[in-house]
Amino acid sequence: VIVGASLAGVRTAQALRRGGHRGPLVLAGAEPGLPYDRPPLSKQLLTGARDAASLALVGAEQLGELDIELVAGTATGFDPAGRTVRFDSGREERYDALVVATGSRPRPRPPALDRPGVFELRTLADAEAIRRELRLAPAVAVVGAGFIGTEVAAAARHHRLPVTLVDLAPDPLRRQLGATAADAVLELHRDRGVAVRLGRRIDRVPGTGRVGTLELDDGSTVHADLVVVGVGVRPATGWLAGHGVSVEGGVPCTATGRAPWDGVWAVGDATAWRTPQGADAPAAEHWTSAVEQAAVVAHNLLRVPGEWRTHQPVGYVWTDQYEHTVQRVGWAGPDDADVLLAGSVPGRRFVSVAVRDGRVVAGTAFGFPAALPRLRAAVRAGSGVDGLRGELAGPGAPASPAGATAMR
Amino acid sequence: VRITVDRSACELHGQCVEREPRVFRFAADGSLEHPAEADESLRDGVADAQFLCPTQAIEVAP
Repeated sequence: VIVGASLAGVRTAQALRRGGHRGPLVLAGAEPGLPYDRPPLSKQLLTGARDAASLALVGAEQLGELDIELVAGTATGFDPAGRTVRFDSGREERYDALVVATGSRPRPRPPALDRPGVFELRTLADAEAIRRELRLAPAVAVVGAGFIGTEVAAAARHHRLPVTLVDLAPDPLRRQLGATAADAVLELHRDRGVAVRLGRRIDRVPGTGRVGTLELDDGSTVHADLVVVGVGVRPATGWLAGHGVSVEGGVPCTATGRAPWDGVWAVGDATAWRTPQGADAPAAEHWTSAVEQAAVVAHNLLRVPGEWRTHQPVGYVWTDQYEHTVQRVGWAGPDDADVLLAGSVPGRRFVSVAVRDGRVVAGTAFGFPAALPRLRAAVRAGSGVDGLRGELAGPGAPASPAGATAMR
Repeated sequence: VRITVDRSACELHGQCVEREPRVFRFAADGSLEHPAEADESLRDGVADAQFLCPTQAIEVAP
């Protein structure tokens, strides 16, 4: 039984069948319709470049062929001793193996923003609601300058709407992209006409009905008929609470994907995986780790412990910002230096890297996908900075990726 | 296994290159290269690459 018809859940189901699992396979989803891919929700779905039907991760036909039983239901609890999981529909499923793939949900909005006209973006229904609102040509405020927030701001500018981007932090995106690339993303937004207000809190939203004005903590006001809040996510693991394990930060897993209850595994945003060395894996609530974990868990479920694989993430995240794709490999800490290594920041095509003790631990390719293989190899190997700089600048260096921007 | 990549969907994330470099690779000009057909022994890697593609641009046929 796989709980959560998310990317991680669907890929686990598909990989189990590919790996030769012949027994019954239940995939329980909390949302109506076919499982879908989330990254386009804050990108092409909002600009109109793609519609909802194009986001399906798996068709009804393939579910039939693979004999995957997709059932509608939100899990409300489970019994690790009796090996059953309960759903809000009243349905109860017995399992031999349970895969937790319930993902995450948005962090609660600031109380001042608990008003009509304020939206979070997590589900297809959320994205479609925001798209409908964008058609009404509102003034838009985005709260939270993370990946979701900046992508929504770009989509709103695509529709030529006035946009204000507000974040409590003076330096958003730095943890995710490094200082050089984070600043470049924010500068890009300013260039495209977004009013960027950093280090600002929303103090008050006057009135009682639909949102219209935001009062910031410096006394200034922002006009907004539509507010989208993107202030991060939390694992959606409440249904697993009460069984002796803290799940607030995600289901604790070993690097094999095994959860602390017999027969229970976990994949995707709902997890807190450990590295093979036993350390806490860096927060990796991202698309690629979900797919990689799904492959590992499906592999392990079908094999004896001696043949189990572990998940050894390098870490990969991307964001689309207007016509630029920004790709991040690896994880940096707050004390790592962030260095421009190749290309040009004003030219919006560059590679910046996080350096610890002279070694590359993470890096960002900004509008420069051709640099990615070398960057990834350097991060994986912990290469010296000068070596990578030479590779990116010297003979045989990646040329301008002609296809990269035209392909959008 | 026969492989096709939808070039209008590919955004050069390079996940396929990472997972199965024996089939997928970046050319010197930064474009993605792959043979139209790969050996049966590479099926698992190709299938993983298909799953790992963020834009689902890879099609695999028997």
